[in-house]
Amino acid sequence: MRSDYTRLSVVFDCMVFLQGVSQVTGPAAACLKLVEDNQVELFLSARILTEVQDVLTRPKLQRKFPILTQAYVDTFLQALIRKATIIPDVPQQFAYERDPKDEPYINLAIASGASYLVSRDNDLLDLMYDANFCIQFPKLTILDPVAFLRTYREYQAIPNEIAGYLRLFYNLPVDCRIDITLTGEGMFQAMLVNAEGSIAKAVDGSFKKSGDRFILAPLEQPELNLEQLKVYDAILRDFTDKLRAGAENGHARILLAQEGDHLELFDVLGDHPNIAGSVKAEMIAVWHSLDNMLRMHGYRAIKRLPSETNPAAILAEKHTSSFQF
Amino acid sequence: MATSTHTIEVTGISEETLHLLDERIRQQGGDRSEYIRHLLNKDLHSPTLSELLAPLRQQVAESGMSEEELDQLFLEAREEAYQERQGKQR
Repeated sequence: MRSDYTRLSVVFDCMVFLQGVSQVTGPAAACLKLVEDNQVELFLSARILTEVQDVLTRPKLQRKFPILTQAYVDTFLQALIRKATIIPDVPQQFAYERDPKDEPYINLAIASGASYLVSRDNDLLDLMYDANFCIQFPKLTILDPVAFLRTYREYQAIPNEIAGYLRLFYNLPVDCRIDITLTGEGMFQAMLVNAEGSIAKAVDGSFKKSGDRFILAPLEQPELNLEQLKVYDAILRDFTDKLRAGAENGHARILLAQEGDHLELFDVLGDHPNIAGSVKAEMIAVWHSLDNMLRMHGYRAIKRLPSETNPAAILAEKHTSSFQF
Repeated sequence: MATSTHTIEVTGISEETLHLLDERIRQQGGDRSEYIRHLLNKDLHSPTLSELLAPLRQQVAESGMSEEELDQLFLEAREEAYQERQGKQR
């Protein structure tokens, strides 16, 4: 599964490989060059390697291009494997009657957690107009090589956009360096480094890109006193367990606390219009830390008002970004 | 040849990567340094994808085939391979 958020994660369909290997220029060749230069994380499976090998060594191709011997193709595939992440077990999660040849590519993208499947095949591209598919696999975008290259360029610009925002936000001197690491979906960590090389500030935060709009929220951890730290640690463990269980069960909303839970942190939840207002005044810093933790995991906290059947509660809701990577 | 004593410090290795590294070393024997030296040498002395593909791309260019003709050839080859696999499965 995917663990590298510093690069776009991608699956190429068979034709992208074939077009990419055969031409020096063109979008498919440019996509392959990104793999060669370690600029994107390419996922492969044994089934896909077998298909590419099988097609490239067809006699009708070998007649046209005699260099396509078994040994040559094997050497190429070994070089490709060195640049890729192999997913050993790809379950069949999606069946595609319209073109079963595409199934291994869709299922690899799903199993690997890749954000992009690159193809020029309309059978695959049309899945983006299939509401059921998009709801079932909201994190996967299928696009053609040109669109993927455009997305890659936008992605490359994100650290600079974040750095520019932080420079304004903190009014940083020009000789202060800002090192940005993308740590998760829509998440970053920034090190603000002084001219003499010492770290002036470490900032975690979230960002969202939607069209031309770039929204960024630095999350500064408040300093907690000993009493607050004890409360934070206890509740953090509880929230983390609940998030993990909820995520494993595929829940979009996860119950974190309801009326009566964690009395050391919350006042009676139902009495107040928002979450911060439900937190005991001396514990607001604790809530900020917990809220930041949720955002770092891609969640936002929402309040459920009390009803006849349910008490007031705080839920974690997975926030979605229109710019996935 | 004199033994090199250059040292490289690498930061940003995640716990997961370290775990996978140690697991691989456990299977293959040796230690971290030996394994990473081997990986570096193997990678740096292997041709790049572009270098490997250069002669194929040259043959394609010399064939004079247009992009559309090439796509058609690949599509036919892919379909042929698929039908053959389906035939074997039946």
